[in-house]
Amino acid sequence: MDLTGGPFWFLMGVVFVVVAAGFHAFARDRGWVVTWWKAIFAIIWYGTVCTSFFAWGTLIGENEAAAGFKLFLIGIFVSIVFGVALVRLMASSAR
Amino acid sequence: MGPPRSDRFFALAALILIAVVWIVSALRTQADLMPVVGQTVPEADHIDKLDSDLYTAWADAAESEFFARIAIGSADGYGGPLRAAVAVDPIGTVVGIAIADDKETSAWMERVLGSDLLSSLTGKRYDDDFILGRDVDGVTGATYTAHALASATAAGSRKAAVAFDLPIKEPDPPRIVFGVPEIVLILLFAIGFVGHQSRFPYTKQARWVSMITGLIVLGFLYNSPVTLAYITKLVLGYWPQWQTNLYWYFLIGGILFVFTVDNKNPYCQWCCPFGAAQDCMGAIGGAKSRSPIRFRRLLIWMQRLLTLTAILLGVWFRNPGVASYELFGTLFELLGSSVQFAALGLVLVAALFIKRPWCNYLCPIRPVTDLIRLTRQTVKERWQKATLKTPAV
Repeated sequence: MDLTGGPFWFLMGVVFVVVAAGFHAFARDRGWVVTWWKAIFAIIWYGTVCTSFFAWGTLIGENEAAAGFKLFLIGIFVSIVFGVALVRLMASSAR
Repeated sequence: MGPPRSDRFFALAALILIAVVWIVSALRTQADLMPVVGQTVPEADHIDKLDSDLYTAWADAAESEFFARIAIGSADGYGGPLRAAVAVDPIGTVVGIAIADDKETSAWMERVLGSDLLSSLTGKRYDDDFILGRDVDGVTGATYTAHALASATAAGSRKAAVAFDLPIKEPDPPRIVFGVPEIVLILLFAIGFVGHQSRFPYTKQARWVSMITGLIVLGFLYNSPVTLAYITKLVLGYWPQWQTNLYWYFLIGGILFVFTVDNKNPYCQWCCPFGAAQDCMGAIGGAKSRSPIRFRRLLIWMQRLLTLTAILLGVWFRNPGVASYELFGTLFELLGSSVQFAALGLVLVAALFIKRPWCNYLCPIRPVTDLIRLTRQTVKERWQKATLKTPAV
């Protein structure tokens, strides 16, 4: 199976839908009011986390595993900081 | 109520220990410079020592022809004096340089030695200018060390030229360096002084302005926070040239002065750039003071022990930078090992949830300020006791 072909992206789409549905349920349980601009922030955050992993994998393929791992760590650090800010932002308007 | 008696006892014991290590290390470091001197002119037949700082290299065994004079030049570096062996040929041209002794942080030194600075210094004449970035190559990110090496080479080449009876022009007096960091530091101390006043209504806002300015200017632009190396330098008696190190004098002098007069810390909570970075993370994550009451004393003493160990190592090796374990350079210059970057990441992530974890549990400056505070209080109490005992005339 070609990992970069159609099935792969179909799988990614499925994962994204599952994550989005999970986030929606999580937000509802917590009483968060997710406005459109907060949803955009959440999508950007999800993109940052995914990109960290993708960049690592891509650089392993380019025989730059050490650089890829460092980039991954930087991405995860940014994701943690951004994620904490996002949770506080969401929680600030909880019902 | 004063501090516990155990604090006073251990503070005194620490000071005595530092003094003992200082004396022992001073007696120990009488290095033989001949091997270093030999590195400057490997082609010479043999080398004679004229005095402690001057050597003659001969071109032949019969000593009929000079190869070079080698002198030891010295200049202030980041961690203390940097000494270089400088070989000069009979017409006054620098033909070889070797580092005889330095107190620099190894990462800065490696950067300088890996640059083109040494090769651009070789071939200069003793009466040339040695100004970094103009006459010789500068080194980005290691300015203090590069400047020290260029100045030590200039001093050594002039000393060697005197031995050849070459005409020497008196060097210009050092130019007073007073720029943006010095001005900003004075302003930040002034903001801190005003902000500390109980009647000042905007303390919180003033503190944030001071912190953000410190983070940008003293941190990211100039990477000049107070480090353990500054304190060890003071203990070792490496007082840098005041004209070119006003910032150092303002910083250390300002902190000591405000502590002595006002018993307030003008630096840590007001303009420390690393503290500001943690405060910014804390503002994002809503950090709170989380000090486990059960282990509070243990954590304080661990921090003090760590600082004492670092100072003792610095004094023992007579190198202020050798035991500095701060992560300031890693954040502000993006320079450090993988371990340092990992530690920095952990500290910054922890700062999202815990208020200033580095300052509270690891920073070596806090035990030093505790010691200053304790000394001040002890002296004050003794003074008051002595004044009360003195009968009125």
